[in-house]
Amino acid sequence: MIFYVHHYYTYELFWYFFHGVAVDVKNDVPTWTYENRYNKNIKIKETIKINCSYKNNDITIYFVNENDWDKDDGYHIFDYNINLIENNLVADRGWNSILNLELKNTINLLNSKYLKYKNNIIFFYITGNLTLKQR
Amino acid sequence: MYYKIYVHHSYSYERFWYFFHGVDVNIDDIILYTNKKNEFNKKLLIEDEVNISFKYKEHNFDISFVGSNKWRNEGHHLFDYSMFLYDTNQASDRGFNSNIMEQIDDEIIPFLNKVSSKKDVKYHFFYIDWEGHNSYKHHKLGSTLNKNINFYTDEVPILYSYKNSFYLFTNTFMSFIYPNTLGLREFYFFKDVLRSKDDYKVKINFPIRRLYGSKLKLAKKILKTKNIKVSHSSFHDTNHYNMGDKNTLNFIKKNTSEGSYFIDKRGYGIHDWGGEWNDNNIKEMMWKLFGLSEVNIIPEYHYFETYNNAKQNDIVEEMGTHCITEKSVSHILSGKPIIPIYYQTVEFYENILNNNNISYRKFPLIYNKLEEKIFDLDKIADNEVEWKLFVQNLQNWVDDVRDGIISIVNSKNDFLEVIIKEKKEVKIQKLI
Repeated sequence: MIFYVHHYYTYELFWYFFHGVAVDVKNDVPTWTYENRYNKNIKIKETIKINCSYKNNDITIYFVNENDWDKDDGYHIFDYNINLIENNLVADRGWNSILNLELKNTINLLNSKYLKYKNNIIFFYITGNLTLKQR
Repeated sequence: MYYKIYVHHSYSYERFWYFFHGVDVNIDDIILYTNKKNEFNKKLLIEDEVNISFKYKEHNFDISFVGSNKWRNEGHHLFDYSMFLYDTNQASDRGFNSNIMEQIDDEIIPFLNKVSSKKDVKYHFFYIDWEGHNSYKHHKLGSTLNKNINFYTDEVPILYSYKNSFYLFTNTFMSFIYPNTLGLREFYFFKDVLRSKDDYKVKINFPIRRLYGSKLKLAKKILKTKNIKVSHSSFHDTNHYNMGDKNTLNFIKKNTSEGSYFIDKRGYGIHDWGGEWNDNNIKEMMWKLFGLSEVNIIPEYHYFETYNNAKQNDIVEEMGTHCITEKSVSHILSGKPIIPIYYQTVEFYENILNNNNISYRKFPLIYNKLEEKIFDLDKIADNEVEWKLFVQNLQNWVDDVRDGIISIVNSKNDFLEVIIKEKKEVKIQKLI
């Protein structure tokens, strides 16, 4: 099973999406690359590949940020909140009313990717806000 | 007197408190954000100019955070090396980084010399790096930096001093708290949590990460005691243990493998403390080590060790004389009883209180190097009555130091003291 995560890699994001898997933490879940060695807030632009397994299923994960939308051999993961953080719109997870437009933009982006590539897209939308789910 | 200070960094309320603690200010004037974008994202640098007025000892100050503008305006100008690293995205935590320090020689010093050449400006260059090296000597500031620029460092003027170099205790101490990139501020409020804890695993612990020199020597001695433990926090890269020394690595593994005394840097999921950034290490220290023992032995830096172990060819002027790091600051903020490996650390803090006429209760152990008294300490811990009294006395001392220092930084600002006391007044100082 292959996952393409359309966000910049951090070891924290790995645990958020892929907790519960069998993985060699020390060797396969890196904490830094040359780019962010002195500043943990710098986005890691290079693709990070991690192998792990879950209930005897081998999994390969690629953190690819904006790349590889055309790959049709796996699932594409996109997270609304992580995208807001990466685009400097918020510092913390949490919903706020000024970001409605951004939700529309996100849906448009995902629809356009699907229309173009017909691939499997998984959309994470964990807001912690009950009323918003009606949208 | 009236003073105008231009701060050449992006504004944040945390930076205000770092530079300008101890002043008489309307808290509502210390704004949190300037527009919708930085209201919703505290990590965005505030590029807008922010102006704040306050009083300090009957003097009136107008402060402007101006970023990279107004370098030659009449008045005082403040430039801070660590803030510069944040502003330019070169570092995420405060802390010394020898790999990028050439920038000071190649860019910062020539630039500051250039903009400080006008007669009606006075420049103030902050270089607080928490590291044991003489930055003034290292960067040859005696010959490279304009003498009209004041240099502020965390090296205490003990072994050497320079005319335009100043030690600022209050700003150095506040540098550990604001900007709060490491989370050290949280230790102040952690005190209440620690006070309600009564299930410590061990009476005394010596927490270590890198084990070498006097730390290694002390750890080996401690392992022969009954009541003192050594805990080890690992690196994510084992080559960092001690320059790849296999004997030391084996020694660590053998003696800390038992239960809570080994903290694995890269645990699974929620137990993953992540990379070797300072804030990750500080969080690990708070949650894994402060609750392990009643008292911590801390390997706080003191130049005394370097000075006494110096070889004939070593140059005294190159030795770092900064006396406090996050090790003692975190413990003092949280009111955690400590025994530093050098008694000079105790004396350093007591001198600060003495100089500010603040009384304190006595530290209950007198020694030179703790190594000499480690078996006496073990005996104290072996007698319940004696131990309770000893811990209470340690607690009294750390409480008095904590309250004393907070009282100092809430009413005094060593940077502003330099400005208002400078003999040669900058021309912009004028009566209102």
